[in-house]
Amino acid sequence: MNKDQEQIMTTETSGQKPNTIDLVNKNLAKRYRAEKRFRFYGLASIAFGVLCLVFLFTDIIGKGHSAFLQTYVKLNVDLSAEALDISDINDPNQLAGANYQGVLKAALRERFPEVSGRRTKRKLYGTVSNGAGFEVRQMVEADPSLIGQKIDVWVHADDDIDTYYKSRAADGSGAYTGRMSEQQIGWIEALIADGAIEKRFNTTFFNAGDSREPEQAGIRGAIVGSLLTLLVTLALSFPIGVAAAVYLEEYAKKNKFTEFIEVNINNLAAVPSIIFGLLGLAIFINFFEMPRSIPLVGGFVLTLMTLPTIIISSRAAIKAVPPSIREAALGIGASKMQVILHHVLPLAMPGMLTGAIIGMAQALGETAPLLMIGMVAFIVDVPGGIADPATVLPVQIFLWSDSPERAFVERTSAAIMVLLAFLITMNALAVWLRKRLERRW
Amino acid sequence: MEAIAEKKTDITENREIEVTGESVIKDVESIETVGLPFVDNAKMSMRDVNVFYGDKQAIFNVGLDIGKHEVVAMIGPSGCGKSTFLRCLNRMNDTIDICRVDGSLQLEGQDIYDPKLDVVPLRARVGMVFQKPNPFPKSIYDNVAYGPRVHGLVSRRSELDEIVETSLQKAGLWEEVKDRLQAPGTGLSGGQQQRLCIARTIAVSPEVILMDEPCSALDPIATAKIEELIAELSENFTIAIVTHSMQQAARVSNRTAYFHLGKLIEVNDTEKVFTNPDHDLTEAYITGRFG
Repeated sequence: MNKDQEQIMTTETSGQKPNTIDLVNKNLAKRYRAEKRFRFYGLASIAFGVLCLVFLFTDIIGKGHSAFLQTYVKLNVDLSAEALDISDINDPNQLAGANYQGVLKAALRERFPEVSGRRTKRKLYGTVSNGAGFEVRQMVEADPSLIGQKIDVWVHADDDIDTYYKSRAADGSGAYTGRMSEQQIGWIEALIADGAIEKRFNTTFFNAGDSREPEQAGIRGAIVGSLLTLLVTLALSFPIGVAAAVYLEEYAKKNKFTEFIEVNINNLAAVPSIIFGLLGLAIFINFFEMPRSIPLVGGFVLTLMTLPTIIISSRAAIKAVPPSIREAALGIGASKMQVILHHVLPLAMPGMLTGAIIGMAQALGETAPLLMIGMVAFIVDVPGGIADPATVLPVQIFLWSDSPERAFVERTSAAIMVLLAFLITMNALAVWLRKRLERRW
Repeated sequence: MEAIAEKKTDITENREIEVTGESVIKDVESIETVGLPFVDNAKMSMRDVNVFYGDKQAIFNVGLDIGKHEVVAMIGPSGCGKSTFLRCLNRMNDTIDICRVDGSLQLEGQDIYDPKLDVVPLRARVGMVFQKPNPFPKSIYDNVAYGPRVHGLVSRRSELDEIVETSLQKAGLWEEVKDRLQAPGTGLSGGQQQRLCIARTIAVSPEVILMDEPCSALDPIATAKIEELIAELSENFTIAIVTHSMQQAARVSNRTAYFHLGKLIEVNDTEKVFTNPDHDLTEAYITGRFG
């Protein structure tokens, strides 16, 4: 500015009239430079964000993609009645209780006859998952005619073998051996040479509940738990939130009390979620003596947490309904309730739904408050209802990330991928719903 | 609301200075309505109406009759309270928390500010058309059918169809939209939208129609159509219209009321108001010395 003034002064003193357009032109370059810089800042911020995102996804997908495959071992198993230690093959009780793990062990001994000594044998048996017996049982129960035959059976490999095989390059180098001994590696290489080890799609990961054994652990329990918890949250928080927003916007008188409530709602939206967990622990579990770690209580706690979000977004959506529409309806003689139900709510619905879905997505990713009400427990069974003990996806991720087994690392990342897939789906749904409802002219 | 009230005082203060500057009037407080504010066969009669927004008084001691099947135009500079007064006539001001109305306002002898009176049937009897066309974001049919539906005027679909058709015909819109009744009302042109709003208002067969600057958002052709419509509607309805256009008031109304600073200055037959007004302020306004 000062420079410009000097410039004007000098032109004036030199007797020339300062020409406005010259001054404008002189400053143009500077202005454009500033504009370029301004644009660059924005671009740089976006680039930084994208970079972080790419890094995150590469890391998670890089680590987690292998969890969608599971290593299987082929064994030639003798399913004779004697080997299974049963007398009547038509008796379902005997079929259920037969010694399936035993026949697998026998098959391993047969494949590696040179192994001797208790400790070495136990290591050999550790080649297959200790849940492999159940797989054979399921096979036999589905088709009892297998009894008496000697057949090739593919069973889950133990997680150490799984990790080893997945990390191994085609020529056998670069494998992660972990706690495996030379001897074990020898057995595995022999099996690989036989073609008796292969990777298949990991259905267990999607069908099973949690387990101490990585190869038997799945996220089904956590997904069902999450869905049940969200169901409770949605069923409570959406109607309560919308009703509260409608009352505050349409009926409540503007006074100190409503102002106080408004400030509190805004504050609650910013309260750390773990506080809601403590609140839930104190009220629902300690006072009302509800059971721990059930989706119902989880849903209550998450309802408390998402309510402020839903109320705030619903109020904004209701405020955005043009007053002319309200006046039109009132002018015809619609009652207040008719104005709200016929005009305000339908027009505010896209905004309210968006808020609700964003609140739900937030609730889906919430961990801390659920730890407080015991949803961090180790639960193997897939929950059957809102009163069954359960865990949720983010807590499952938290649990697995704590586990020492190498095979849980990839499962943690895979579970994160599943969680992200759910979140992206929900947000896409929010966008789609908004577009769809808004398009009704 | 406060902001609007603030603005209003600003405007009125300016006016006062302007008016005193022209020495048209010395003391605004002492004004009495001149002319013929009262008629024999009044549909609505208002006496000593005072309206307050919080502490600010917007209307001072207004007394006015609206005769049966008469078109009364209300004119006056911005912020003079004509819209506020109009909105008292079907209690639309109820929606504004800080607004308070005093005085006697009667619809065929019934006090419309009686606390026991239900505003819903009142608004069915006294309909309103707003400044900006405000059709519902629904189909043309549903727009017109909305009033009969909420009031439960019809029991069968065929009756409703008939009401929609006659209302649209009375509003002069039927020929233009009869083939696309399910099209969105918001997709019509501005003038059509306003006529749709009029159809929506008359669908509940009100006795009085209040119009708050119904043409201010419309082009001259659409305005002409609405004015024609008002003339036709006056055969069956009582109409009170607020307008900024003096030509419009002159064209459509039987009597004209001139408001100034919240006071009713003059009410007379429209012809008299625009040719030989009784009050100096009215003359100053219609000759364009301020406004």
